[in-house]
Amino acid sequence: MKRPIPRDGDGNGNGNGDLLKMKKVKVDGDANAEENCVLRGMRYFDDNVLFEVLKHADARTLAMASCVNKQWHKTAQDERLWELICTKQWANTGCGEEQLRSVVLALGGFRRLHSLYLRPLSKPYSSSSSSSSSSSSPTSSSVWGPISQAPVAPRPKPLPPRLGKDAVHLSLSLLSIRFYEKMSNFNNRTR
Amino acid sequence: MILQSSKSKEMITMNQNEMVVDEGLLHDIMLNSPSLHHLPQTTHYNYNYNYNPFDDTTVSWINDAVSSPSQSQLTTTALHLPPPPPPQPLIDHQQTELLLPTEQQQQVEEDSAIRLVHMLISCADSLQRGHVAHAASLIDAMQSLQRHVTTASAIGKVAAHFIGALTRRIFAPPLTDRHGGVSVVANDDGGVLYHHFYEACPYLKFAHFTANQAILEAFSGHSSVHVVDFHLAHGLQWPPLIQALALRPGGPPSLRITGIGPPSPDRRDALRETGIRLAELARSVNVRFAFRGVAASRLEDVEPWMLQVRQEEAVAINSVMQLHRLLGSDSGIDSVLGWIRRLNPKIVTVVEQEANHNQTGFLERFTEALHYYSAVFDSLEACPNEPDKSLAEMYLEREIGNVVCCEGPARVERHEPLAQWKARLEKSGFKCVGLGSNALRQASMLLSLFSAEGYCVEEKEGCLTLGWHGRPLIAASAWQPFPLTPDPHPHPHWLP
Repeated sequence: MKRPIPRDGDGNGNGNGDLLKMKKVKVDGDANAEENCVLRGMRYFDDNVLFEVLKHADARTLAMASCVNKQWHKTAQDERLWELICTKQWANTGCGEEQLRSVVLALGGFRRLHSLYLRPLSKPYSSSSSSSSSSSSPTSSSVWGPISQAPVAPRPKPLPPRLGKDAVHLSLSLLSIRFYEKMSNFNNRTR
Repeated sequence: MILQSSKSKEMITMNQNEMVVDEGLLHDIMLNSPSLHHLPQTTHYNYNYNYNPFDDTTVSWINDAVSSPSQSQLTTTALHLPPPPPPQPLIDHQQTELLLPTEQQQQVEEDSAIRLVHMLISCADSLQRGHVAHAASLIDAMQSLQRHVTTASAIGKVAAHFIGALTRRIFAPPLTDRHGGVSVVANDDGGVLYHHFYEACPYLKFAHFTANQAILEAFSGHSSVHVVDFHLAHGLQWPPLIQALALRPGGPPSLRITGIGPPSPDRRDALRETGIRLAELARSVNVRFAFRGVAASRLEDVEPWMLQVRQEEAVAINSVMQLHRLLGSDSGIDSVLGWIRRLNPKIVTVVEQEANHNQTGFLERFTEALHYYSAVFDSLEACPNEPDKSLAEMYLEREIGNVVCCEGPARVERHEPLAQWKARLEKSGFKCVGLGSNALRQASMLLSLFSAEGYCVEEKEGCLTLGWHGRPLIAASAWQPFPLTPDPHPHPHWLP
């Protein structure tokens, strides 16, 4: 590995920094032009390897990773990764893993569950935490008080708090309602 | 997956004056009245006999009073009438108002709002005493005063709706005939308004989630369960229950849902469509599911045999804002509570508006309604603007209209406070089952996700209430029948 590999800009956090280092290791020394190095590198950057690496990412990193390119997008959207993120966060739900997986996947998947419901529930301090609340009216602030003027939250370094059983069940309920409302013949009646 | 759905057509009591309702004609679902000729001659719109003339007057006031352009556009196109010409002075007034300094304008508005409230109450008082002419003159005065109160505010909207309702009461005979009234079990607009009310504010979500929690707990340990829903609507209450049963440790039970609802006005079978959707969801999560629809325009018309309850099932009865409709007739509520008890359900969930709108005196009822709906509209205003609120407001307007204008069997919105429901249910042989801390936590969490500051959940003697700034507006409770002595001759509605 004698040829220096151009970096894609500085890492956006520890996760991406590590990933770039991984990429450096993987690319074999190729005598072609430097610009092609990155592309050739990606060819050897297997989906499986990416998957294994992303398993260790937190939610925010995973979400950012899905914005990098098509391959990363495809891999980062994998439900198994989001299942890991969801289950890391919550306490024992009382039902079997297999049971939970089949229900959540049927109703829309772990990624949706996390972004639409689990994340807002575990971050009650942000004023526009759910997609339905808008900040257009000054009175519609969250229950936790007028923190609508809070500065941009610093990158959450510590893990998000573990969600209790109630929050998990509520999220699952809301996911099921969303699934139901999105059913093809539902909108014909209500709109 | 077993899908069964049937409708007992022979038991449907069709409202004689029910007309074919297009979903766009939202106002048509309000009070039907055949008595067009009672209208004063001064109104100058062309009345098509297919449309409710009172809705034309309402439309005119709403077009004048309510500033939201989308709403007036909707009503104008829906009714296919030329837009009612707004009275010129009103427009001028509104324009000149914009020139007033804001503080002064606010003061004028506040004063006008207070005066409006007083005038509304004195108008109701005059009506109760029979001084119709005086009441009518007050209406005129209120209408001119209304121009000072912006209808973007809660009090403006409430005032507009109550003035409209009073006007209908004065200028048309109060509707007492059952066939002239609205279909009792539920709205027959396809549930559009109900759905918007569900999305816009947390009351119905609170009702559904709290009832589901009680039902889930009551069903634990049973392998065959049956839910009877007194008002199926779009079935939005049931996906979370199906999902929770799917995730039950030990596997899901087999679930049956029987949904009661009004017969569909057009050829669609709304109940069956909802049943199909619920079945589809249950199939996705591997829950054995069966659905039955019972179409009835009044809850009193439902007979227990129609529900096809099986002996080995655990039954849950769910009534969200339906029981109060039975209070119009003397025996209605008692007979329904009687057959509920005989079904021996594991749980009966009751959610009702927390207000006393069933008083015989008109003035008391009016005043109570004014306060109640002011609180509701206030709370609605604080909700996020994102799901459009105008249809939710129309839903409430319809309730207001029924409370104020109708008498006798046509008045179905006979809300009673929780204390009275408790007494009634205990007298009929039920005991209150505490809702538990799970329900309370879930309700609080739901509020934090969906709502604004100002909503409050309270627990009182095992029942939960959701309110606005300390005033409870909706109350949820759960009940179980006292054990009956075993019947040596089983009731005919038990299936073998």
